[in-house]
Amino acid sequence: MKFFKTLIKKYKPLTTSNVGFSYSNQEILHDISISIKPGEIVSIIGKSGCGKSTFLKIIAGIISTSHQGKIKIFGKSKILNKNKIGFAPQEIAMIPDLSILDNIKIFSLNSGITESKGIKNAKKLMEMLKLEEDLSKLPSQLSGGQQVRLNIILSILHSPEIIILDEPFNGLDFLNRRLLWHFLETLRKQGKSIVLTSHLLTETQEHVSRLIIIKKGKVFFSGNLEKLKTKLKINYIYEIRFAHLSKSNLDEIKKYCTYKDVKILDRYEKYLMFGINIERQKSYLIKLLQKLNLNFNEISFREPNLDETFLKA
Amino acid sequence: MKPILKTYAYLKKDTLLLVQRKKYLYLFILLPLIIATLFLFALNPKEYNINVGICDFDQTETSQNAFNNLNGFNPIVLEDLNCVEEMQQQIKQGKLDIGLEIGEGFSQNLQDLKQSKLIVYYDNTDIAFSNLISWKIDQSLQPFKRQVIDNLNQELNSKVKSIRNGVDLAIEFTNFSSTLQNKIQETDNDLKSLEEMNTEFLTNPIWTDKRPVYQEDLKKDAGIIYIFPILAIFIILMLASTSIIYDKNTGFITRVKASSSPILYILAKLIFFTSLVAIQFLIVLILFMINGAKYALPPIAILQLILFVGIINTALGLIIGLIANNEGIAVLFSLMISFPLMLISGIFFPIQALPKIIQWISTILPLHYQINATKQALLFGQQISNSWVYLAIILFITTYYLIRKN
Repeated sequence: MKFFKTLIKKYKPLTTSNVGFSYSNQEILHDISISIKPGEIVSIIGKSGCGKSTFLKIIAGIISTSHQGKIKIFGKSKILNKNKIGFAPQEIAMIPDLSILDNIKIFSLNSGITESKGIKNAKKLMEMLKLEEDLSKLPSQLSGGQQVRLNIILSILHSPEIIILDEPFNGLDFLNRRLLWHFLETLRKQGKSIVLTSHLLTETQEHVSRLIIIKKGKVFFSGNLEKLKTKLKINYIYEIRFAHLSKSNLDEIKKYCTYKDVKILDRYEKYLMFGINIERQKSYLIKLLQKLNLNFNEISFREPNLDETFLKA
Repeated sequence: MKPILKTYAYLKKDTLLLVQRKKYLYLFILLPLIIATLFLFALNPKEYNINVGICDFDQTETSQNAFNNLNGFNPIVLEDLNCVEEMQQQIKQGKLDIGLEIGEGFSQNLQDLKQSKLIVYYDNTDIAFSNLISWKIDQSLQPFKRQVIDNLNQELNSKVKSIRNGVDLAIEFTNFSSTLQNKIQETDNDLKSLEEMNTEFLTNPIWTDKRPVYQEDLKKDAGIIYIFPILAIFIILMLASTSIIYDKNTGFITRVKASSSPILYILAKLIFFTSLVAIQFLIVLILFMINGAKYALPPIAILQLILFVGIINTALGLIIGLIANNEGIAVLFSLMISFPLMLISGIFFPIQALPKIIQWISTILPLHYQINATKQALLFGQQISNSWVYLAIILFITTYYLIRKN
């Protein structure tokens, strides 16, 4: 037994190599190769429709046909090690006409553990996620946020080594999101590997060990936020509101930005947000605006958060 | 104006959705089309092509005329020594639809102005067909009977004419006693022949004696061979298809795929719905038995039958559920499969009365085999052929593939 445990430790919990997927002759994913270490929280981010959820579904075995590449769970084919994965789908996946207790029992058995063990684990997880509800209730009698938490609990009743969460924060308020992050943090400390997708990038940056950005079906970036800022050359955010901004002036600014590698990250009426790599670029930019006789107010000059950095990606 | 606009909006929404959901649209058009067509064919059969075996022990021109005049039948003359037994066997095997025994003296009886008999053998477990055959045979024999009646009329006219001549002669030659005596004797004979004539013969010169090839009371018992498979296909297709849609909608299949192989999921569904089939079978069987029906109940054949009906119908239901987008479509699909199958199963309309192409379709559809299997197992206590297992494997693989692809 000890031998096998040592052997398992040699392998990374999750490795994907050259995973590709096409649907209706459209390439969704192309050559995605990543690996996840034990005790790591990895967030996969990308624009809507970039293939994040598809990638998670391929890892979890939901999409099991017609994808290319290999997925290894602790060095073995995922078919042989499915019980090491717990997948919480984005949509609430439970049986609405059965009680919470019956759901727990059925999904425990589905995960390959006994009902009693499942109930014991569920109670522990429910306590951690502050979901101490009457188990005879129907899932529909829970609030939206409670259903999201129960959805996650039902996915990890068998204490999997790898937890895959597709948009787990959807439908949760700030307090419940904090609660869920703390919960994931606890699981991470227990050595679990967690892969998730989320649109709440700023919140994500505080808790994840690594970011993987998928762009046009490919891995665009893998690393932490600092590494991303360096890669994208965005170390500062400079926000300005103009008294008046004509089209010709805007064109001048755009031309300058292209030439000086400054990125206009956002624009709305007389508001502009610049992504700047080095501090002195700010003074050059101001000089240009003065030269154009533009009247403006500086809103902020600060370090970017993940949302703003992601605008560049 | 506002209520009109709102009503228009709601109408437009439903129309657009109907057009958008192509499967609804197709089913909406196809279902009445198929059912109405089948009904029309069944109610107005244009072509009969019923294979009738002939055992002609009379071997005369009249007997040949009798079966050649059977309109809409395809006569097959059997010349076996044990002709009747062979004919009955072929009816049981489904090679012949009915059998016709023309006894020795058939034409002599007609000539002697005596009622002649035809024995008709038929499968009394084929409910709709056995109902059809009773009037069909009589109807088909009408032209031949008409001809016989015409002959009889001619014969009667000639006899009456002869009596008239005799009576006339008796009046004319009353002096010659010996001649008169002979003539009167002839007249007496003719009158006797007229007196002996069976009046029933005038209306029905040929009597068809219909004999079932199985025991007479088997017709009542035979009801179960239709009721059970039809109930099973109707209910299981609906339940299995809607159950898989429920599992799709609630995300249950997602969890199944994430944590185990769909094979176990399909197996569980097959076991569950086959158990339901077994319960249905018991209910129907008990009802029929309370009503006096008697069945051979060989355990292995019954188990084979329940597995056959349960597995095939469940797998079909699962496939429907995987193809359909929602419960409405699944129910329509199930109806589209089970309802026409019922119509061409032989319980409501004789399959033999349907056009050849529909007869062929009915024989490749599962209900046909399920009815035959039930018949074999329950009525004759025979084990059913295990060839359905191949179909079950194909359906299982299809279901597995569709779940993985879904």
